[in-house]
Amino acid sequence: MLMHDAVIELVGVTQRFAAPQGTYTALANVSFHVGRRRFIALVGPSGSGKTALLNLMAGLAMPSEGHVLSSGQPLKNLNRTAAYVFQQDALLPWKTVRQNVRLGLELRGRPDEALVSDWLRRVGLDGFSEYYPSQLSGGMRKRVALAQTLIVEPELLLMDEPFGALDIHTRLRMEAELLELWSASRATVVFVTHDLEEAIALADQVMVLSAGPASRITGSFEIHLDRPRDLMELKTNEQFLSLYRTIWTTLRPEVMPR
Amino acid sequence: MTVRTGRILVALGLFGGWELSSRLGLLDPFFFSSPSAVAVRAADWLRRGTIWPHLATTVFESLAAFVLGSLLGIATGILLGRSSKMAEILAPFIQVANALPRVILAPMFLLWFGLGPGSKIALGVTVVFFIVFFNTFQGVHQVDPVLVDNVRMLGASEQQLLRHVLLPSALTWIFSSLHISTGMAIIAAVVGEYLGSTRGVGYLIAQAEGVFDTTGVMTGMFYLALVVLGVAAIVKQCEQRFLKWKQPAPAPSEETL
Repeated sequence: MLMHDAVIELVGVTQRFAAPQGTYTALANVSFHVGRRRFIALVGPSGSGKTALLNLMAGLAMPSEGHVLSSGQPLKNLNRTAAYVFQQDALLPWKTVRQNVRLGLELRGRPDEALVSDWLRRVGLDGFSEYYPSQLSGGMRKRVALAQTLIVEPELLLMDEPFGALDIHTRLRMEAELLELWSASRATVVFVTHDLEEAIALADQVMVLSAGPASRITGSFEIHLDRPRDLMELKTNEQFLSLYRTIWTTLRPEVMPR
Repeated sequence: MTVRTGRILVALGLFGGWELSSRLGLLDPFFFSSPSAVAVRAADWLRRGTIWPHLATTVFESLAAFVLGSLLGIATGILLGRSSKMAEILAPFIQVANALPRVILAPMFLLWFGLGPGSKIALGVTVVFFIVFFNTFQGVHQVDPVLVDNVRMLGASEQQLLRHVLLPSALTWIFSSLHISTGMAIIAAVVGEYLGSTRGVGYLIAQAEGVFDTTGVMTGMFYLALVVLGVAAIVKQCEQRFLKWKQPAPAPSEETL
C-alpha cells in the first residue's frame, strides 16, 4: 500500500552492483516508509548496504528492482527535496566557510547573506566565516556541513555516519546540536550509523539491517523516549538501557555471525 | 646560515671561481668569456637600449604561447575529462602527438608562419598545450566523487558543477605545473628564435654565436635568466593568491625550475 504522507518510501527495493565475479546483491527486497518529520536511524554492521540505501533515497543511485517514492512520486532522478550529509568530508576545500554555507542558496539563484550569517551563528562558526575547511577541526567541518545542508531547508535530511570520524566528546556535542537544529527545522531525518547507542539516543525509530550480501531489514523498534532529550544523562537511563538490550539481541547476530 | 646567505655564497663561489679561472688563464676567455665581460656587455646593451626590443619580443611570444596553449589545454582537458568515451578514442593520437620532438616542428612552423612571432608562438603552444591538457584532465578525472555528489545534491546544474567543482579542482593541478609550462613557453620561444628569426633573445644568441662571440651568447643567457626569475616570482604570487585555501601546507618551492 502506498503511504502518501510518507516523505520517502521504498517498495521491494533490490540493489545489485557489478562486481569482479558476477554481480553483488547489496540490498534484497527492502521495503519501508518514513513519515513526515520523523527521525529514523538505520543501524547495521559494515557492508550492510546502509550507504546504498541512502544513495537510493537521494536519487544518486537507481534500484535494480522495486521503487523509491518521494512524497508518493516515483523517484527518477536526483531527489530535489533531500539534502545529504556525507560520511567523508564533502566541503569544497577552495571555498571559505561562508562560501560553503552559501553554496546551496547560490546554486538555486537566491543568495541571502543574512540567512547565511544566521546559519553561521546557529552552528557557532560566525567567527570563522573566512576560514578554509583545511584550517578547521573535524567537529567544525561537520558543523559547516550541517549548515550547508540545512540552509536549503530540505524536507528530507540524509545522514551517513556523519559523526563517525569524531572523537567521543565532540561527537556527543554534535549529536546534541543536531537534535536542537532538527527540532527547530523539523525536517525528516534518515540517519545511518553502526553505533546502536547513537541510534537510540537520537531517533524516533531504529531499523536494523542484516549483514550483507542481500541485506534486508530484520527489525524495527519505536523509541519512546521523551524529547527534548538530555544526551549527557540519557545513556544511564533505565528505559534507554532496556531498549538497548532489546535491539542488541536483533543486531548482535548480524555483527557477530554464528 | 640562512637560505639567503647560502645562496649568496653559492653565487660568489660559482661566479668568483669562473672570473678567477678566466683571469688566471685556466679557462680561455675566448671560449668561456668571464662574468666581468658579461656584466660590461649587459650594461652596454642596457645603456644603448638595444636589448629592449629583443626582450619584449621573447616575452610577448612566451606569453602568447602560454595563454593560447593553456586555454586550449584547459578546454580539451575538461571536454575529455568529462567524456571517457572521447578520451579513449583520442588517447593514442594524443600520445603520439605528445611524443613528437617539438624541435623538429620548429622548421615546419617557420615555413607555415614565417620568421615573425607566429612560428614561435605556434611552437610554444604545442609544448604548453600538452602540459596543461594532461594536468586539467587529471584534475577533472580525479575530482573526489563525494564533492560532485554533494554539489549535485545541493542543486547544481552541469554548468554549475563545472564552475564550482571541476574547474577549481583542475586549477590546483594546472598550478602545480605552472612553473614547468611557463618555463617551457620561454624555452620554445628562444629555440624558435634561435632557429630562424629577426628579433628576440634567441636571435641575439644565434647572432653572437655566428661570430664566436661567447660574451654575447652569455649575455643573452643572462637576460634570459632574468626573465625566468621574474616569471617564477609572478607564478609564485599567483599560486599564493589562488591556492590560498591550501595553506598551511607549505607551497611547493620555485627552486625546482
